[in-house]
Amino acid sequence: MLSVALVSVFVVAGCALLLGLITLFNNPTRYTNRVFAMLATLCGIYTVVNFLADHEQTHALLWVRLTFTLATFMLLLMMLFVNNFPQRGFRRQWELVLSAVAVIVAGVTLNGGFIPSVILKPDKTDVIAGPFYPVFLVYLVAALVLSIVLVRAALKHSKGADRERVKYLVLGLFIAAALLACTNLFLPLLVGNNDLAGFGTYFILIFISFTFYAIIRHRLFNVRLVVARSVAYILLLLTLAIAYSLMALQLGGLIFDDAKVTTAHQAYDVALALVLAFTFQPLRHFFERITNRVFYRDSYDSQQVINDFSKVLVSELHLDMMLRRSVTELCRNLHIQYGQIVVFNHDRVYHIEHYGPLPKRLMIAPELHRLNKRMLVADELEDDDRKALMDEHGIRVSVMLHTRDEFIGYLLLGDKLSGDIYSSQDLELLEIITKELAVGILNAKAYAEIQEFNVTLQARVDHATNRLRVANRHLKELDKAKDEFISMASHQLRTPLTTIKGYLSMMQEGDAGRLTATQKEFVSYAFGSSERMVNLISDLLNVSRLSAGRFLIQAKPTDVVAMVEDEVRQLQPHATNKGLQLTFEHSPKAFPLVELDDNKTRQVVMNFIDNAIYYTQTGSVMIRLSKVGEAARLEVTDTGIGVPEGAKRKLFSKFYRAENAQEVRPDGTGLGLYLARRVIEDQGGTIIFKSVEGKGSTFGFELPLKARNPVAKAKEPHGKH
Amino acid sequence: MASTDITTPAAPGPGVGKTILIAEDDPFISRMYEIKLQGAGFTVVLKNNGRDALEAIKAQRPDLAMLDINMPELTGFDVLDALQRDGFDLTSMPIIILTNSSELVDRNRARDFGVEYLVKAELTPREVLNIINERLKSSSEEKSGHA
Repeated sequence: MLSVALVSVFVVAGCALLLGLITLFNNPTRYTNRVFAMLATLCGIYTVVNFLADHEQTHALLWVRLTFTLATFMLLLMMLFVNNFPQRGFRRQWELVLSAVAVIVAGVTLNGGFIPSVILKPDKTDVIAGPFYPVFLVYLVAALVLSIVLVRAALKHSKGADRERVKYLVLGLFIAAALLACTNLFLPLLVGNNDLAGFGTYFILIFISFTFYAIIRHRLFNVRLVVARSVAYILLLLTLAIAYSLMALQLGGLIFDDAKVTTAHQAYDVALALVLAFTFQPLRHFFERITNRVFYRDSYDSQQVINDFSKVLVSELHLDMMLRRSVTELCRNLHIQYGQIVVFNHDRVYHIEHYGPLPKRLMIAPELHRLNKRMLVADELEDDDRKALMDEHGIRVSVMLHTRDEFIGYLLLGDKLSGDIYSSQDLELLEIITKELAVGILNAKAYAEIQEFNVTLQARVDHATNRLRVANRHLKELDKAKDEFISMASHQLRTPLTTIKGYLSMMQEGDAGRLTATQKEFVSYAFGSSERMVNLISDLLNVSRLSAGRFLIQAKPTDVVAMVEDEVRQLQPHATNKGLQLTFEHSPKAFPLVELDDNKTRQVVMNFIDNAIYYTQTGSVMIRLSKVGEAARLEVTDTGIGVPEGAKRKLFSKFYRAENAQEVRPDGTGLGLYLARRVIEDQGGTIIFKSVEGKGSTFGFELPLKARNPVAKAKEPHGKH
Repeated sequence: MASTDITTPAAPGPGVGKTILIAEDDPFISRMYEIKLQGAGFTVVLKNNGRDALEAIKAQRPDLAMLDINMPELTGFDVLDALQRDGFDLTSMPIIILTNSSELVDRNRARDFGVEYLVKAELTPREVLNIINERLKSSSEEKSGHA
């Protein structure tokens, strides 16, 4: 019984002193640390004195009185502590007053009128209360009441982690103080039973335990590491001490004769020392591991977590995968039950990824926007609506994700698996990681947007292509219908025209009898016009055939000089009427035959000359045929209105007509030059065109003497001779 | 249209004694060629549909036949088809397709039959007459050559 009590006293006193030392050395300048260190030290001393009061009977009265003196100061320190932790309550002057009161009470406890004598019993000492005894009672009750008031105020004003710390610390203090007061004061006083006074030691143990809990779980005084290492070393020392003592004393005593110190005994001691030396390190690791497991259940290597996290961010391109892996990585490493990443897009929730059990309800955007602080820790928040919101959703930490100039979303984290609050290591890590996460999300979003854009773009292109295809098909049908119409209309026009032209020609030839000069003149005009109309229709048919792909060049050796002369002869009256000089010259005189399509080329020549006459008011139209290398060159040069600069590029387009040409000749079709170019180019030739507006133009062509188009030659039907 | 009081030069042309068949459904056109050809001394047989033209070619064996393509009953090509089916030698007589179609298909078909192809609107009756004279001349030369 004695030994158990003794060991208990030493352990408790040792722990109390250790606690005091650690607290003091952690921050010697801080008032609360000093007060707490003193309180813990007094607790240790009290334990010893209390033990002595019961067991050291020669000075029993002194020891008993001292327990009360110590209790007085302990109560004072308790009041000072709760007044200053976590924040100061009343002012320092009042603390001085309190201290003065305590000193007076302490003086009283040492006075003979406080406890006049004690009754000594085996293993305990009963107290006889003196006349001053009630002074201590009043002081005790007052101290307890004041402490309760102060604690209530502290609990009210503190928040988060501080509140938790206060709760456990104060709970330990009160339980210890209350129980101590019962067993060592009220019970003996009221019932006269002092049997339980010896348990005071264990009540101090309660206080110490609660304090330790607050240190481990709630980072009280920030001394977790020191405490963890201290505990590890205490355990190590105890183990070594016990084991070594056992082996050295018990075993050694059995093996060797106590009286003599033999060499064998010395060797045994050396062996033991070696065992001690070799077991020290492994044992130390063992205890450190055990204490680490207790104190740092959720420890991790921050740098390692950051590295792993960065790998996830760079290895995942797709937003959903990246988010899922990020939140998983984060929660697993930090031992968090539940995590959620909410990504916004223009004020609206764009994407959410979870880790852990799904919540009953997700926060909606307006709720989330109430959390727009860089980092919110529910345990450190005042009791406001944000804390209520976070509590409602089981969120302990919320981090707003944003890059330098863009808001990204939120990272919401639930409880830790251990139930602990988030450590400063956690929060620092989150601080770093969330910055990277924000950038990663931004990149992934950009990637997703590009991909979506690609897809929509492809869809749009497909859609547009389809529409174009349909439109194109429709246009082709329309074009075909138009060609068919032109073709049909042209053929229908030709029949009456054949009659008109035919009878007019017969009148000219005298088949209707002799005509007067005027009649002849008139008929020739009518015939000329009907000829032009035949050509016009021929043009139209050629164009429609051209677009329908039925345009065919039928080349054969042709006397170009005769062809041009023919056309000049036909158009000469027209030029003469306008007072224009129409000339034709060619070199060499004996011009070689040229392989070409007579009908079509003839139309081109006629078209050039006809145009030149039409668009020239005064001056001349000169036709020059020359041989250039292995090609025949024909040029029709006039002194007419010319082609405006802006019209030149489009002049050879189908149905295009320059504005000045439209004024002079409103009935033109805009087909002549278009067909001319096709006819010439299809025969392997090139068009010649030069013009200065208001000065005149040169239209012409250069055609190879030998037809270059074998296809056209091959398809040539057996022609007229 | 039947009026024939047009004075034609009675000069005995190269067509005397020769018969030309014209298959043409437009009376203005057939009359026009008739006048011109008669003026050159030809005997002209006018038919205004393909069937009659086919009968006339087989029965009367003209020296030259001019066929329009688009005609009632039978087209000009139908006539050529029928003649070929009946074993008629198309090279034994100059045949001219005289039409206002300038479709390549028609041109090619005419070529396949080995007959000449002319576009009415592009030619005056005089030019048609000239071509007929040439064809008759060369065909008679051929015949005499072969004989």
